[in-house]
Amino acid sequence: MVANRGEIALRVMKSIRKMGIQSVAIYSEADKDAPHVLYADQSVCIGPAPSAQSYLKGDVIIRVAKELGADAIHPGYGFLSENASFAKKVQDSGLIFIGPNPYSIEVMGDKLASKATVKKYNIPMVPGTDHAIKDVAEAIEITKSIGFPILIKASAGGGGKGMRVVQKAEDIEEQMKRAINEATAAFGDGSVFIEKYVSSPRHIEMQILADNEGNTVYLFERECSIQRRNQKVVEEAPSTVLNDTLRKEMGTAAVNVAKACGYTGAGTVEFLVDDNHKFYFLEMNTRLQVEHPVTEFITGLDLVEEQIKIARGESLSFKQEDLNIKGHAFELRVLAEDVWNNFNPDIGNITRYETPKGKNVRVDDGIRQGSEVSVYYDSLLAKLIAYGSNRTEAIQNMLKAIDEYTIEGVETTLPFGHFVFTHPNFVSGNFNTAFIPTFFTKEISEELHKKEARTAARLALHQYLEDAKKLRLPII
Amino acid sequence: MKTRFRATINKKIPIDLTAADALPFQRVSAHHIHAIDGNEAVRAEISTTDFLKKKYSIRMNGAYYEVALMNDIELLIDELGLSANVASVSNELLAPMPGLIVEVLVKEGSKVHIGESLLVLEAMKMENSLTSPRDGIIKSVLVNISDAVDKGTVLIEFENDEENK
Repeated sequence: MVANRGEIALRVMKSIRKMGIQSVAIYSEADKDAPHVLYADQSVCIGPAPSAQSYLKGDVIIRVAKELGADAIHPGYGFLSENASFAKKVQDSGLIFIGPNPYSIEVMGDKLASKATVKKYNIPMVPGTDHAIKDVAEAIEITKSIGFPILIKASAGGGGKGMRVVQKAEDIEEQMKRAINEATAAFGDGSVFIEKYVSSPRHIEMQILADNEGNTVYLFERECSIQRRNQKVVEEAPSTVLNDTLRKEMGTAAVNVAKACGYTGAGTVEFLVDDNHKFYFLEMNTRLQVEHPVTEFITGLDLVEEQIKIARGESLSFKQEDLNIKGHAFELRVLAEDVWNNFNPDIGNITRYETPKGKNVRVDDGIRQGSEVSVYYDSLLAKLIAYGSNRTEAIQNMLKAIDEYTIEGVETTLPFGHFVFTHPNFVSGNFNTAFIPTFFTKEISEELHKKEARTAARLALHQYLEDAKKLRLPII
Repeated sequence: MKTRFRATINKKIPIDLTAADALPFQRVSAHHIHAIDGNEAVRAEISTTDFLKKKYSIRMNGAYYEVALMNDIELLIDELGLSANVASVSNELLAPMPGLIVEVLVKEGSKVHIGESLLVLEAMKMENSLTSPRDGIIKSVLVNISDAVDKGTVLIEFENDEENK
């Protein structure tokens, strides 16, 4: 059973089918015609549209899985994927949870606990507090030693929720309140802590795989620095800044983090890398990542297949020295957002939908023509992944794919993709997490949008004048 | 006299043109076109054309532009129409984006100042504080906690200034 929706549910089911296993989809009332529902061998409606009444109903999901005779539950990402008590309940019910053990999820899900756990392996960390802070006065005291700007983070956080950058002491109180509220609402845990804000770092993560016999390998890095609101939009593998030495150092650190919590399955260790190519442990994500396809392209592995094999007790069929990076891959998250208007989410009906084709292009999507994009779920519609034998070729394949990808009815991040993959700093590899705030400011994006809109208007006018000539109608 | 046109892009951006601004292009396939603007190559796709309604949709660089053209006469009528319909002062707070209402900080009759938080809207995985666009008194709050709202939904109405005096 795949306890998720959208593109990831469909992607997981494709690997399940490839392995000759039957799949069960769950869906909310809003998703009854969704592609993942149509693809599965069996589909069960588990509640109304809001996630809290459907995709987050762990007990209902487990009960349905038992009733239908499923062997295992794959949680995808988001929803219940990093919920330790859900993982435990799945195991207690006699089903297999396709993911790490509940202990790993719990330790790594709590940023403070994870820092404490990996400490003994000498993993470099960003300066900050090692305990939860509730009191504004204490927060101000801490900033005296680490200085501004600081980052307030939810200990239970992820995905940019409950995270606030604070530049000056006057703002701490208001921002802490907001961060605590967000954290309480999103994770049911209002603990926040403080870290020095490393300005404009690169965000680079290591994919790891661990079997039940203690074999742990790293499947190299993913560069995820193109972010808006602390959430990734474009990812690539490999990164342009890692040489073999640094790659090995970070890979080894990632393997140690996994070992520190007795990890099994697929996981990701996130690092910040500063201007001097120093790296700091950020957190471990105990699930399949959105951006896993770029790793699949450069390693030739199917990560979902590996997850399932590990979950059913098989050991890894390869060792670290068998793994090599082959070529270069990019992913563009196709989000229902208005890139010309601060990436505000957009909703509506997909009136036209055509995907790009080709052997170096992959589209993981969860929509089709006629799909309704609603406020209930994440804005991720699809992921566009392009591969090439080198970075330049992969960029060109991506641009061609963006050009061929037609989505009408909602605003998407495709035009932003065009901007990124033609931007000189991105093309040369000289960028970090400040890319969007620096190069895609309101002024720049507005000007670009107006210029393109004018060109479109001029093309349309030409077409109109030609049509008028053909029809011999007077132009008034 | 030059023939004037107004193109409205995606129902939002108005662009004034004359017939001389038309950008000639070559068709490279049924929908794909190629033009040269200055020295720059322009590659685009005309996905729909509707001559009678003067509506054309163009895809370019991953973006989608719906172009609605108006000619001289239509423009004149539109301008006359506009002048008869002077926009009213902002007596409403609209949702700037779709989202969920998580907090309502004011009620009917509350006296508020410009910049004061009125509502908290959860969108983009964040809580966004919606602040008052003006000083005034709240006439009515049209949403409740946990309502899902669309972009442009009226959330709060203000009393008219005249009534306050």
